[in-house]
Amino acid sequence: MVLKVHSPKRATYRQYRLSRVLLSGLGVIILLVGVLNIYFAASPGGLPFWAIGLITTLGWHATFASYRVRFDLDARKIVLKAFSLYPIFNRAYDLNEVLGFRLISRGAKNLPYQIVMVCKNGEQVALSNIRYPTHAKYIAQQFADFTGLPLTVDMV
Amino acid sequence: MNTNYQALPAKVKKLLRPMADGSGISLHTKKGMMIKLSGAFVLFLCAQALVLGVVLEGSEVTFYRVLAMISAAVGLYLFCQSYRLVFDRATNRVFVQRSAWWRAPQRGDTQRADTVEVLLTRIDSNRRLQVGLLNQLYVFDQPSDAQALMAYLQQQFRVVALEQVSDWPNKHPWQAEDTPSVTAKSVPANTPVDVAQTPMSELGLVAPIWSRGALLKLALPIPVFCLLAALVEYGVLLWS
Repeated sequence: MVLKVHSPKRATYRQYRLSRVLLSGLGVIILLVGVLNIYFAASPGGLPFWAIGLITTLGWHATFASYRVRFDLDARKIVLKAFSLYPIFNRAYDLNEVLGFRLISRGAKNLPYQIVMVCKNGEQVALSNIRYPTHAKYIAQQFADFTGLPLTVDMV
Repeated sequence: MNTNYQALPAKVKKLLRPMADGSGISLHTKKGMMIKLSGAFVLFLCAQALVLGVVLEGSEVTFYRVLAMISAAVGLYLFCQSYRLVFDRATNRVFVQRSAWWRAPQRGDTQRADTVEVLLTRIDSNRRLQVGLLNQLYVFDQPSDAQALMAYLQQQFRVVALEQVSDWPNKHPWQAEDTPSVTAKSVPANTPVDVAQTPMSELGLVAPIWSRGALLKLALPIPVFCLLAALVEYGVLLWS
């Protein structure tokens, strides 16, 4: 994922366009397989309905699901948004309530580094999970530079 | 806070290794650990090559014997090195010391110990604390262990002890629990006694990106498509 700066006041942290397009292309194929399976579900030798449901959902999310973090310095907002044609979550945080960013290791095997936003009320909000430490540092530094907030690197 | 080495908690004593000549203490470094681990890995490969070199017959045996010799040399070269961060008591200096079995220890850049910043931070939730100095991080499960290490370094080497726990991300001078100090006497009520227990330091758990509610919403299409497939399969839709 990449921080795309639209203007000095607006930026979006989102997937690379190319990986998005490739994943969507793959997702469309899986979705098509799922929809065809639904259409011919009554024919003999078809898959059970729960398997069809899982395959179709996989294709659906691969095609449509998206997660992005929007930084708006004019409105002083950070918005975390996920959607898959229908909204999944939309969390807005006031930038004035944010103390800064932390980079922590979350102890997970997959995507072990996490960029966390620390709020004044003690709330910590995960913004991104990243696999490689240098990339995590680079992205976290970009967040800090764009918003002008401090960054601490607390990785092990 | 007791600053006697023998009275330190076991975890801290394991981390702070006294020098053989009693001139100071040393701590492991990330680079040193990586070199040691890669050395151990190469030695592990060497053991396998050695076994195959003995067991096999024919032309393959030469390959494995050569491989065993090369990997033994590389593995021993890596494994026998050590990079340790040394606090020297006599000169009150800090440096990275590189040593190996075949040569005398070499010192890297030295700097005065009383200019070294030792920073106490929280790693995550669960009250785990970490101590960072000179790009090295040491994590402690028990807050008291981290406090003991801070107190020991501050008392013995007069390092600049800072804490980032009570008022993140600002750094404040760290004060040992029962050290009588000027600030503690002047404002006894407001002085944080144990930085891990002050209310400001109680950072909440990290709210994950994919919370449970979000995951449930993400799973919403599964029952929908299952229902559609089931309806078609049992002839309610399309083929009725």
